[in-house]
Amino acid sequence: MFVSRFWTLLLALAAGVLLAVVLLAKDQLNREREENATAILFKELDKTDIALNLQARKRLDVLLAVAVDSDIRKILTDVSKDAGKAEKHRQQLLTVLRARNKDLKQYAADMLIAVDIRGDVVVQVGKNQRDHGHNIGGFPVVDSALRGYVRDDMWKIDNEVFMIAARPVINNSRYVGAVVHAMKISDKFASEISPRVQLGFFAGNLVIAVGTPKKAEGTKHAQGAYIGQPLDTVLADKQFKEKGYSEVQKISTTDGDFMAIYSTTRGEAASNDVGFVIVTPIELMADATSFYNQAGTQDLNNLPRGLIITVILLAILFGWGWNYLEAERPVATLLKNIQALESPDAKDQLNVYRFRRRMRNVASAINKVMDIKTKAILEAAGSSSKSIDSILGNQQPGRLSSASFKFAEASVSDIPDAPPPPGAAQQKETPAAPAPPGGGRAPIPPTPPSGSKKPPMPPPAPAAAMSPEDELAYFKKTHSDFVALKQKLGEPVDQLTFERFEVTLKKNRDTLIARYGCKSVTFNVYEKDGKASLKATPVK
Amino acid sequence: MLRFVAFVAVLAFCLSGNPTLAAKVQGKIVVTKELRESLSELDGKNRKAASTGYWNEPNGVIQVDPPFVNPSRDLGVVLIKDGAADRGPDDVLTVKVLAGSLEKNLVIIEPGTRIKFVSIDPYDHELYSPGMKNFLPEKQSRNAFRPIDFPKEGVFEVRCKLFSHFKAWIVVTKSTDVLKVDAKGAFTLEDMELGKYTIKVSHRGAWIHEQSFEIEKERGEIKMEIKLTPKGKATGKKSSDTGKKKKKKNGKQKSRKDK
Repeated sequence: MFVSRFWTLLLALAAGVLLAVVLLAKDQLNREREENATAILFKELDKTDIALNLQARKRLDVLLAVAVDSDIRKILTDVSKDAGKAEKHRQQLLTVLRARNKDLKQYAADMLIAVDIRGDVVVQVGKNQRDHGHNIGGFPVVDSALRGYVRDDMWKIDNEVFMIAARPVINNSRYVGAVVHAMKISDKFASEISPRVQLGFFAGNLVIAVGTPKKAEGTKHAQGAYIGQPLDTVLADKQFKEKGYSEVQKISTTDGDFMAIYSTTRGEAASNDVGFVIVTPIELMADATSFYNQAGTQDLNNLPRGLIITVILLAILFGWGWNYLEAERPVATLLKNIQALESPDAKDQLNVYRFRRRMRNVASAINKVMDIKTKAILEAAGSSSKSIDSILGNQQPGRLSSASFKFAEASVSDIPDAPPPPGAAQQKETPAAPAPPGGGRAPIPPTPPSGSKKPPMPPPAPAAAMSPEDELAYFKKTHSDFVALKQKLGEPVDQLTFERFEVTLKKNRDTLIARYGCKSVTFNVYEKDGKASLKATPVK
Repeated sequence: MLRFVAFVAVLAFCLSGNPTLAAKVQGKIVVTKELRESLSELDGKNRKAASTGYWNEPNGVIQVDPPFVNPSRDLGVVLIKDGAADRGPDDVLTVKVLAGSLEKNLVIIEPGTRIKFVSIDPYDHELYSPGMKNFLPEKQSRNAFRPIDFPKEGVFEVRCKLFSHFKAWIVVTKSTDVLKVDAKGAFTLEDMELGKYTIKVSHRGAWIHEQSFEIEKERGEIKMEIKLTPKGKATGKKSSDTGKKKKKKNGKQKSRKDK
């Protein structure tokens, strides 16, 4: 069993190693995916900042067409000189401003404002179009534009965030006002700024815009509500405001897992907790079976199936082989040897040297048990007769169904010498022991079997220490006595041929001689419980 | 003959003397280019600290102007007469709230005065003053007003939680009068009593100029020009026939509260 056990150990170790490898691979793969996602997030963070920068530059550039419009310059000059003229020019300026805004096409403002040199709004196009007269001086971007700067900014007004661009309006080498271009941050704006990864904008803990990357179709997108979940934590983090961006956050949604990084924006709106967030999906493996679930058809096709099947078959084959060699074959051998004990030529014990290791122990144990049982039977033989077949475990119904043999109740040293041959004088008195064949001590008088109605018949001459002819005659005599008694008792004798009877006698004779070392065995025919019986008595 | 002499004497008196019935001060506050440029530098430093946009560059056509200071809106000027009694709290003062600041960036009031902030801006505001328990952020829509009492002396900065650029100052101090200055910096003081006076100018919540003068005659007019320069460079001059320049101080002078 050593090799089988070693093989089992090897298989268990291999399974354990495989399991550990799979689990380690899962963790390692998840970590790698997270690292890749983090790298993507930081890369896209920079790209988004650059895109916002370029977008601001573009809006400032297109706004030049508005700032240099002759009508706008002329009107703002008049209004800056005399605020009372604002009402007079308002409609005309509104018309011009609308037309110029329309010319900006994709960069058309959601709110285009013309202010005079004092910062008063003369005309406003788009959102709150009817508003005018209020002063927006004090906004840094407006103040800067009125002084001659070209500047961009970001405003948060109510729950809306606007990208602001402002230019001064110059007429006759004097600043006469400014134009302010405001573009609302929307889902569309977010999609245009970041075409490859999902970009969102937030104001406080409210997500105000979520883009859908056009060049990343087929990838999962997080919903705004999920993107807003970590905002309370992020905004409360001091490092977020110091560094300008957050740690990478994990977002779990019903659509899958995402990783996100939050960043502050440029401009005044940053002080109102306005910022943007980059979101990327991440496929984390929950368990080892995800390897299979996430594998593609190509991956499955690339599997070395032949090798895998061969390894499995070899493992089974080796396992079965070791099992046969170390378990099944020795057991079969043992069984065969045990069964051999039943045959007429069987030895009385198993040959332990035919077996190895544990089977040898089993055979020895069987032999030991047989000895103990035999001894117990012999000890009990003094008070009750035992069938020799039951002693030897060799009952053969149909051959000698009613035969029983009983040994004298005496130790081996008390066994009489072999009786004289059949031709010698026989003792006629029943209590007297029969004369052993060949002379010597008479055998121990047999004890009548329990239940017998009359004492056994005088034993015939012993079968041992006789010539084959004498022995054959002795067996025939015993057979004829036995058949006569059976006929007398009305038992059938059809099956009881002399050949079979002789085999049984020889077998029992040999067994007793081998067991007790006696020289011969006598067989007595007697009646027991109304049936003919045969008793074997060893003769020393 | 006597009649003629009397007529000449009266005429001479009228011609030689002050025709007004009381002393008058005609003053002007001049914001020098140096001051504006110093403000530009200050704004530049602040801009680095604040969150700005991506682009802020000169237009490339004409030179960029330094920050503009509107004396009527950005400056606060008070007159203090030596030995004058406290005039007590002012009446309720209404101040309009604009998008970027108050109607006047700097408002000077007496202790105990109530200010009613009225928003005329289309955008909502949440005005507050750091450190003032009775002036916490509170949403204020267009045409809504908030009355706030300022019982103690001090300088209180007014901010808006919704617009970080919003800044204004309420200076609560005892004074004889708060001067009304027009956009060009001109102001007039009439019916001045004899005595020693001090004019103090505040900008962005700080006293940047202090100038004393004395009214020695009951009648006459004093012309005064106050030039605001960066700290340590303030100048002032007075030309009159009713008083003399007593002393001149610059922005290093502390406010009365500080004293």
